[in-house]
Amino acid sequence: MKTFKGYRRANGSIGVRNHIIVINTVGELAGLTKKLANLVPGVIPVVHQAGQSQYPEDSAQTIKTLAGTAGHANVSAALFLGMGSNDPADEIVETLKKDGHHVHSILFDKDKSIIECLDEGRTWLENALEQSKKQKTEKADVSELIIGLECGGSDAWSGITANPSIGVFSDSIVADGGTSILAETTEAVGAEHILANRAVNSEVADRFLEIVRRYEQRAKAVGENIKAANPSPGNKTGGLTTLEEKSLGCIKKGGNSTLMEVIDYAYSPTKKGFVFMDTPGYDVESVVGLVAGGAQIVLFSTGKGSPTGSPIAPVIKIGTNPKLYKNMPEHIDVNAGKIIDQNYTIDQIGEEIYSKVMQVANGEVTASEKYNNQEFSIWRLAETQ
Amino acid sequence: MNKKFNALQLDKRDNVAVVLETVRFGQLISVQDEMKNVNASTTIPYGHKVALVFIPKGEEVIKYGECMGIATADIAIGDHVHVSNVRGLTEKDKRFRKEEINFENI
Amino acid sequence: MNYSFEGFKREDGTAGTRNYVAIVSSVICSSAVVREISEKVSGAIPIVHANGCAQLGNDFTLTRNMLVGVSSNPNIHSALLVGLGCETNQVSGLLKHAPKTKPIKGIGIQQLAGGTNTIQKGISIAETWAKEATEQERTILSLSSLTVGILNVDADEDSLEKIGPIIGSVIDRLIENNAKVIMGLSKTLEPAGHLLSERMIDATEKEKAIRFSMGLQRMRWGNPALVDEDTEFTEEETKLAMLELKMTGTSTINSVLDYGEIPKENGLHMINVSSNVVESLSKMASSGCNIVLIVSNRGVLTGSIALPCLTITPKNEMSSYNELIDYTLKGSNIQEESERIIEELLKVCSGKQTQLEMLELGEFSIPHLGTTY
Repeated sequence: MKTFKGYRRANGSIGVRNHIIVINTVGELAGLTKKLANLVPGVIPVVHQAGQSQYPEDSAQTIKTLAGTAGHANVSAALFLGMGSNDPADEIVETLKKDGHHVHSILFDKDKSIIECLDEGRTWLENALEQSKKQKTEKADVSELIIGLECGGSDAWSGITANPSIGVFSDSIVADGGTSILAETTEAVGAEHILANRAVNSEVADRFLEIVRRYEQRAKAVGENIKAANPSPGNKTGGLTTLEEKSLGCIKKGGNSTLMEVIDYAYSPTKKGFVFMDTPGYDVESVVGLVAGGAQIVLFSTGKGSPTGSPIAPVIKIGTNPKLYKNMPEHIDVNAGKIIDQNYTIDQIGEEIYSKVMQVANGEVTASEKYNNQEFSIWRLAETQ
Repeated sequence: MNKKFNALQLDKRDNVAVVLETVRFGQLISVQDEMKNVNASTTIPYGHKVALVFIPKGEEVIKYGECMGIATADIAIGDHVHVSNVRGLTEKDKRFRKEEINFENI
Repeated sequence: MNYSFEGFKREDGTAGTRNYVAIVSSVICSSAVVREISEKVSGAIPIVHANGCAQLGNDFTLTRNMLVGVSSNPNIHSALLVGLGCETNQVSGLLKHAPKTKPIKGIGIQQLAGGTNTIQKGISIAETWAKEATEQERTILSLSSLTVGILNVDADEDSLEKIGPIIGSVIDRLIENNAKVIMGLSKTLEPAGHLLSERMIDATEKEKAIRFSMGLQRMRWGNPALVDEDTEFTEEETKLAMLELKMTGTSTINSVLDYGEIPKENGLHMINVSSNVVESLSKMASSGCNIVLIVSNRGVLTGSIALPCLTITPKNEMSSYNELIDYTLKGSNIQEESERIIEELLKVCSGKQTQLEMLELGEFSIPHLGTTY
């Protein structure tokens, strides 16, 4: 039985970090959000440019993502900054409070000066920080972990070393009762039938085929044909022969487990086991969706080397080749390149990833955390009005 | 440490392996775990695929335990498996596979 | 009246009202490195945003053009472009489109083997430029080297009635004195498109203006049709647009800018903007504005990182965020008020800090035209 020590939240979830965040509802408050975070060392600003003048589909996605981030198990307390009369901050906070989360909102309005608002925010954050320091960790089972699976800056080795190793890990944690979420719908195009074949029932299979088809259509609408453009000449030089092969290299992060569920961007899985989230291939937006959906830790394979992280979740970087590890060790947590030059097997790296996940769940700092890589951006669907 | 190998078979069902270093004509390719050895019939750049068994024209090329394409020519053991002898799947190929889904068995 | 201000003369005939070293990220992945460099170098500003990869078509072009545009902005003494390496928006592509009239260099995290090296290298380049920038002195310049942005932020009927004609007069005066003016064309002004079209020269732009007055058109997908043409403007929206129209003055509209386009000739131009303040100010910064007049009935909580933003409101009991308002109308005489506003504008151009600058509230952001992939 694998266990770790985490922070138990009022709603029953378990965090592997104990962060205090301040988060803006609309882009106009980005500057003040950062300013407020700077006043209280240790507080993390979660800043974005969404929320203003958006079509309903984007507004809903923004609110869902912000609520998922603030109500995340890794977050001890969250302060929302909002403004104006129609701001969603109060409503988000009310909903989160019902679920037992330690949250608060401050609305900038005409009755208060900006300095007063900042003071109020500082006091709240300082208290929240004090309280968080008193929180004790408790033993939790690995089955309570949700792990996001992501790749970015891929190379010819991604599908050979790192991704299959992540797949071995994913199958193991699923077998142990945990959850893994595969993402990036773009990268499944071409191999969608394979994941659909693995779905637990025809409803899940159809839903998966539907989100992939939608993606292809969106790309076609702006004159791109994902199928015709892949594999690219560069992919072919790297050894990729067909689109199916390329996509398999991505989706094999999900191993061979049964696909239990397909969830929308930033939504939480309702089932344990292997699930798929509809996200774009754009790394940061995808990781933000995975984390807002409840992933406490994200695995991120990279061949070219990408430093990006998340404001609230540790991101574990898995390097695909030995050269990358030699050049950029500061951004790599697990070197899957050992398969190439040190005769490690995929199973061995899969095990190494699993033990790294447990160490990180117990508090070990990842490369992206060390370098304060706290990128945050919400997947946009339409143009701002 | 394992026995020295220079190619990876990503799944036991695979009929191809990925070479981890560029191999030349006649060079011995050894695959991890299994005692499978083949001789390269041509230069195969690192990261590319080599056939572990004879793959007749029209047969499925299997990598990751899945069908990644169809052989467009007979592929001999030790051959470089790439765009010259493999094509991607058509929707028809996929439909054929989809019909095999039997959700009752899962 | 002979207007002048003290600014930083640029080789291409433009002038800066500020003299920043811009550290520009090509993609969100290099934003942490960009922030780190700009924090370590005095006089450097971070140009960070959420875009740069997994973008297609016009959406990608807009990102690239805006980053080239903001690097070219006259307020930018020099620009260091920082990439990751594997992004769609390659630094080499940005450099190809960037102006040759100022110091511009590009570096990449993958090429320099990691963030630590990139930060070190970036600091050393930026420090040299920052020293040059500090040594450069302001000189007396004419209005013709200025590009002034005008952005309406949520002004209500009452405010528009009071302030519209005054801003219109400011614009007319600036243009008489050969300045460039770029007026934000947002959904609040769009219902007046047919009237704006009468002042336009280009036949295609005229046609476009008439079309956008008929209803809100934005890139949107879902079915996956790209343009949402269903929402007609309401009577109320049209009424407000007629009031905002007064704010545009009487000059000929030389062009409607998009995609980070920089106006070539003096006079009045329009730029498509959204109701997201930061995105709109960033578009103006990318089209060569070196100052923006924000017209509102309240203070605006974020300005542009690259430009001074001077907030003007009418006298208003109900106004909020008052500490961020730079100028409140004193009377209703159009001549006098527009004169005072230009005076204030020139002071800010010569170095006087705006309220937003004093509170260090400046951001940059690039809008999306559709989605990421």
